[in-house]
This record gives sequence, structure tokens and C-alpha cells, in this order.
Amino acid sequence: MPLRLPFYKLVYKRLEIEGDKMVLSCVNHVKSGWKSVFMVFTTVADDRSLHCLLTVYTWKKCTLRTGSVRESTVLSTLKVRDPSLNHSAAEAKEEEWGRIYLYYYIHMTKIIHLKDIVPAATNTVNAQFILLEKGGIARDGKEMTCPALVADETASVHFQMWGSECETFEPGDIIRLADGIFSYHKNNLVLRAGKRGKAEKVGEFTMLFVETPNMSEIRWARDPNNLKKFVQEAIVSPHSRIFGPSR
Amino acid sequence: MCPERLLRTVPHEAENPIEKSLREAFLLLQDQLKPPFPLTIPFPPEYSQLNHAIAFGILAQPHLAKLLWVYSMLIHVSAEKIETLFISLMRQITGGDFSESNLWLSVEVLKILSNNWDWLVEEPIVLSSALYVYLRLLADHFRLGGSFKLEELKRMEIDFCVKALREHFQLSMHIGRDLVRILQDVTYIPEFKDIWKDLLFDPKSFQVSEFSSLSNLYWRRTPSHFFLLRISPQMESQLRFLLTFVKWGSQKRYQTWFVKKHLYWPGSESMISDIVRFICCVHHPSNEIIHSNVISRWAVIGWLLKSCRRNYYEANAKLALFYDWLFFDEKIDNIMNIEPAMLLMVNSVPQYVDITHMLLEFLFLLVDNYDVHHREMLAGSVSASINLLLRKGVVHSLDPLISCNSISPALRERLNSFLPALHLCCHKKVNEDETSIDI
Repeated sequence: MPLRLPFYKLVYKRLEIEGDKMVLSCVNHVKSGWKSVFMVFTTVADDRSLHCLLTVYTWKKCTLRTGSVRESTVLSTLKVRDPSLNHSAAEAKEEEWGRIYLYYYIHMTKIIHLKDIVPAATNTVNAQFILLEKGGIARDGKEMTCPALVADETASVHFQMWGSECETFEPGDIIRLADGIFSYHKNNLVLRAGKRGKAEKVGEFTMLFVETPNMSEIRWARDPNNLKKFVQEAIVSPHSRIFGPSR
Repeated sequence: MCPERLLRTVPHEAENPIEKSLREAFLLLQDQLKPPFPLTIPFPPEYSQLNHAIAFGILAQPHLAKLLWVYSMLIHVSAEKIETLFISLMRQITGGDFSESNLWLSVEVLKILSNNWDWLVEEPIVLSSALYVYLRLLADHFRLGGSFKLEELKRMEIDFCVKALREHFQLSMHIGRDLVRILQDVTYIPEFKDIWKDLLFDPKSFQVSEFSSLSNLYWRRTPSHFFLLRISPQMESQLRFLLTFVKWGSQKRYQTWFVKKHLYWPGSESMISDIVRFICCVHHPSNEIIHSNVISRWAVIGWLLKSCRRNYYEANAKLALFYDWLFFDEKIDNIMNIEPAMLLMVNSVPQYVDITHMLLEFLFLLVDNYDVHHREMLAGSVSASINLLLRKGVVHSLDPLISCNSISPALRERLNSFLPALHLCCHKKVNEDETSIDI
């Protein structure tokens, strides 16, 4: 059993087999939260997926961060008419899959949109974006560094590449960042993998993006109500000033 | 999918989903891959999973040669449904690419095909597809050839194509009118010069009753699956993405990446005519996309034409763009194949009028010279194309072209002569009923 795949990859793989491209595109936009998960499955008018979800609500020991899921929520979201379970061998297998999905869904880190990132000293940024442009490679002590402009469908940001990342990633690459950090690094506000994070290439070309706003070109100020948090104060520039906008 | 890269672990690269599903198939069916083997014939979905499992077992030892050996064995045991394997293999042979690995793949696939003619004649799709592929490759190899290594490959390619044409013309004809187009690129090769002589002056020598004149081929629309053959799957998905999702104004970066990936080496321009054919004849966006803010096919074609650095490739690309115009028959042809050329000409006025000028000039050159024996027929088809495009409202009128002073009067007058009487300049009254695009 593939026990280490993140949820979206499991779903992606199953959907590849089922071949429903529309659902595939939904999966890429799954945010955290039960509603999104069910939304993905409801668009698949397929009994087997329904069984997966029925498995979900029959699995009573869910340890959700977001709180417990009520049967009524599941039923109303699914608009299930006949939730009786038939335990044929195939369906038992589907239940097994459902259990695994659920297990990994719980542990899946939340993917956020770039427009929602806020400077912080913690590495909690999980995002997916496409690399638009690379700057020149420089040396920072022993390691190579390279600034880059990355973007997703909501915003762009400056991404600081480090070490082997500099030569591996090329413009057009779609990158998934896990446990990244968005903070001031030598006076520049940049997103980077940092010591605990990891960036990996998941594809090429096929991702939409916008270049404005640029989260690195925003002036942030401390939230008066919560000094540990930052809020947007002003826009320094709608586009990156390091990488000119592409016309 | 790049076979050599399939199982290498590259730093910073997430695991390939194809590899994942192959490995899982292997793990799942591991027991069935050792003797004693089951004697039952698997059902199709199980069959494909079995294929995947076997493929993993082979690929795990990264040797494409082994994979090809397996394919040739599959032919030997008359395995079912392997034509798609060969089609996808042939799509991996990149046009205009003279790297060692690409040429090697070209040779090896051709070897398998050439050694299995008995099987090949039972697979008309593979035969006609292979003919299409190798005729196109021959044109590249001859034009840019010269190295000794290529001699053997060229010889094999010539022998294969000539045999397909001379002995199996019935199946070769499945390609349709584009067979004429791609044969023209190899006319200067002596063996094909002879074939051309026979095509023109002795069609009976091909021993096919339906073929009594070259025009029999003109009237056969080329099925769209042929145009996928010279486009790699990755190129196809990138082009489809560009034409389905990317909005007007956002295309510049995607175009840069596309060129950097697919069109950067000398000789890669040869693929531009194939890409144009793909865009015109295979990728037909829905009405919803046409009316949305997504970048249009004509704009992408305009960009591709501008990317051509050499006249030869530019001419081929323009021919690819207008090819269906020359033989258009409303009963068998699709208006979506002729739409991009018209929109490119009309929308380039007035800002890029040099493009319109260049295209009009080329179009009339084609009508007059492409096939002098069938000049009237070609002119009639072009007229029919324009007529249909106006009638269906793809463009409301050609006034922007005819009254444009930057286009030479001779060209404008010539264009006028192709218009049906209803739409002649100065008698323009758009019929409201005809403004919807009805495709």
C-alpha cells in the first residue's frame, strides 16, 4: 500500500485511471476543509467514489484538526439518497481506499494561495507555483543563491533559490513548496524553502498565473492587535521591480 | 514521457505519476509474472495493467533497447492492441533532431517495422502512420544530412517508404491529401522522383482501382490522427493548454518556454509546419472557448510563422496553413480547418498588414502554381472556402482587406475576384441572420 503519498496524489492517481479530466482540475484546487474534498467527489457521478465517502462516515475514529464530521454534513453534501452499504469484495476494497484517503487527508498540509502569504518567522508555507524568471546566480558563503520570480493564479512573489535548486529549476517549471518560509532575508522579503522546507518540481508549463500583486513588493506593518502578525500596509509596486513585467 | 528519464531519480523532482502507477501494477501483479502462468486470457482492463507491470519490469533496468526487443517479440506472438505502442513510440522521434539518441530510436523502430512486413500489412493504421512519419523524417534527414552515420538510416527510410508506396498504395492512400504535401518535400531523391513520375503520368502502375489521377488524393481529407504523429505528447499537451486556458495578453511567457523547450536547435523549425497542421486540423476549440478571452489559434499561428528563420520552413508552414483551402469541399471538410488562416489575414490589418500581404501573395501563388493542371479546381476550392467563411459569419466581410491601401491593388483585385457576388466590395450589407458562428 502506498503509505506516503499526499492525499492529492492518491486522488489524482485514481482519477487518472477513471479518466475524468474535469475532476482532475478540481483536485488541483483542493484547499483544506471537508467541503472541498466532498466537492471533488460529488463531481464524479460514480458509485465507487460514493462508497469511498460512505467509508469516511462509517470510520468513526476520525481525529480531525478541524473538528468532527457529522453524518448529516456528509449526507447533505453528497445528497445521498440510499446510503446502504453492500459489502461485496470490490466495495470492501473501495472502503479500504477511502480509509487511506482519509488518513492522509488529515495529515495533508494545507496548500495556500500566494495572495494569502504573510511574513512570518515560521516555515509553514505550503504552496504550488510556476517559475517565471530566474535572476543571476550568486554566492552566499559556500552556497549558490539565485533570485526568481514565481507565481500562482492569485499572486506572484520573489523566491530565493538555494544551492542545487539554482541549477535544477528552470522557467516554466511548476514547483511545489513544502514547509517554506516567507520572511525578510538580508533586507529582501522573499519566499524560500529554508532549512526545513523542500521544493520539488511537479510539472511544466500547464499552470495559469498572474504577476500582480507581487507579495514581495508590499510594505508590511505589525498588526496593532497582535504584534506577532503582519498586515499589508501599502503596495510598493504592483509588479516586481527586479523582474520587469512581461508585456 | 521520455523513456530514458522514466526511472532516474532527479533531485528536486517529484515522483512521476506514470512511474508510480507502473510500479504499483508491478507490485500488484508480481505473483502472476512468475511461472506457473495463468492460462486464462485477461479482460481488457486487466490486460492493460498486465502490460504496465511488464513495462515496469523492463524499464526498471533502464535500457530502451530491451523495451524495443519486447515490442518486437510482442509482434512475434501476435499480441493484441500493440498498434498504440508503436504510434506512441514514433511520436517520441523528434523532427529535425540529429542527436545520437533520437537517430538511434529512429533506426531501431524502423528496423522492427521493416522486419515485420507480414504483421504490418495487417495493421493499416501502423503502416500508413509509419509512412507518414518516415517520409517527414526523410525530408529532414536529406535536407540536413551529409554525415556518414545517416547514410544507413536514409537508405532504410527510402526502402521502407518506397515499398509502402509501390506495394501497398491502397493502404498508403489512407493518409489522404497530405501524402501529396509530404511527398513534395522528397521529390529530389531519385527514388521518389520516379514515384512522382508515375503518380503524375502512370497512376495505374500503383494498381489501385480508385487511384486514376493525383486528384483522387486531393479529395481525400487527411484523418486528424496523422497530424498527431509529428507532435510529441508533451508538445501536444502544452499547445492544448495554451489554446484552452491562457488568456490574451498572457501568452508571451508560455511562448518563450515553448520555444526554449521545442524549437531552439537548428533544424527544429522543420516541426513548425507540423504544429500548424495540428492547430488547424486537430485542435478545434469549443464555441465557449472561441468566445472567451482565451488566445485564439490564429494568433498562435501568427507567432509560429514569425518564428521561422528560414524561407523554406516558412513556405512550408504557410502551405500547411492554406492546404485545406486548396481542396475544400463543404461535404467532407471542416470549416474549423480553414478558419485560422482567414482570421489571421483579417485581424492582422492594419497593425501587421505585412503578414496579410505576405499571406495573400502566397495564397494566390499556390492557386496558380501548386498544380497547374488543376488550377481551376484549386481556385474553385479557395472560392468555396471564402464563401463558407463569410456565410457562416466567421468574418463579416473582407472589406478591411479590400479597402486597405497598404495592400497592393493587384492583390486586392485578385481577392475581390474570389468573392461571391453578394459580398463584393461596395455592395456590402451584412445579413443579420448570418452573423452567428454555426460550426
